[in-house]
Amino acid sequence: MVLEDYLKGIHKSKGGIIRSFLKVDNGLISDISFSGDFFMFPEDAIDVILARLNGTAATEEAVLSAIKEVYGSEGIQSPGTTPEDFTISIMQAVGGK
Amino acid sequence: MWRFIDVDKVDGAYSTALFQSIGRHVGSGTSDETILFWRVTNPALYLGYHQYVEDEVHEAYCQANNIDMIRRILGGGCGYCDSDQILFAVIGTSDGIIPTNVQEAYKKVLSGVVSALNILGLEGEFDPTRNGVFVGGRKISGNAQGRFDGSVMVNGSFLLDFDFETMDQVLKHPTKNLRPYVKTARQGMITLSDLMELPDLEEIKQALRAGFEDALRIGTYDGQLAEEEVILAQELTTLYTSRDWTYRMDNKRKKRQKVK
Repeated sequence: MVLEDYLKGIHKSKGGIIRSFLKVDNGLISDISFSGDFFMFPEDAIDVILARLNGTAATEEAVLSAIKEVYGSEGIQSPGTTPEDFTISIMQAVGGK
Repeated sequence: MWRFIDVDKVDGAYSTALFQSIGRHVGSGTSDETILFWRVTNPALYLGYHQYVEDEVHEAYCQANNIDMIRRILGGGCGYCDSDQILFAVIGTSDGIIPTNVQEAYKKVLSGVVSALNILGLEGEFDPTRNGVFVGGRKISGNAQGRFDGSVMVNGSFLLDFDFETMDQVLKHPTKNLRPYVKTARQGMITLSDLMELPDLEEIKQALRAGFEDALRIGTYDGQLAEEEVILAQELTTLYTSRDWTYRMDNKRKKRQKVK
């Protein structure tokens, strides 16, 4: 991954840092990944979030809605880290293009 | 009654495999709920499940100084450990007395560390914003939580002493998980040896064990690992010592680079 080719966002939630790496093609999120020291239960639910976000419109409303949807369907708990926190990190990246 | 096991000193990778193995057996009902204590035989860096090695660790320093790098199955941040910390895993069933809510689980279990400090004549407090235990505003116990295979575990460290110098060489962001105003790890962390003349190690362990018993309102018996737990732990150790596992996040990054 050539980091310079990716939009990057970083946000410190109460539960840990969330780094976002993504591209925006025709207004849609692609090739998104996260890293950080947050907790998520189940831990693998992060992959479900990423899959849901790929192809989602790169707008705050669409991103937040998509993440909340996965939180609901997967029963995610992430102490100190909310869907809004992930959204902030992503929108920082989007805003950086 | 819960089972208490102290494996004394073990390899860092094996410890990660062991608590996962115990968790699986506790969750399936084949083992009693368990409190596990250990210390690492070799200095080790435990990496969070979602972290990149290259973002967090000075790898060359670790390699040159024989510091083990182990990726956890638990999230959270990096923790540097050596034999001067008691490491613990409080492993219950997911429908047992450890609360379903993650924050409540931390609060309940880590009140055990606060109780242990009280037993030793010290005052500590659980900080829910950092899910750690602090004395005088400085962290003495860092923690992580895992939920899998029908079990829930709250893990952590209890600092008897600490090699801050080495941690600063190992971690790229040593103050990241400490309170915001902290400029150095030494400023934000505290050890038992800072607070008192260290009692005998067994006395400290007994205080910690009693603290968890008090917090969870349980009794514990001195137990042994089941053969099946050891066998599974040995199998899982293969995973935790594999480069593919340790670099799983970094490898995903490299794959993207190749695709590019």
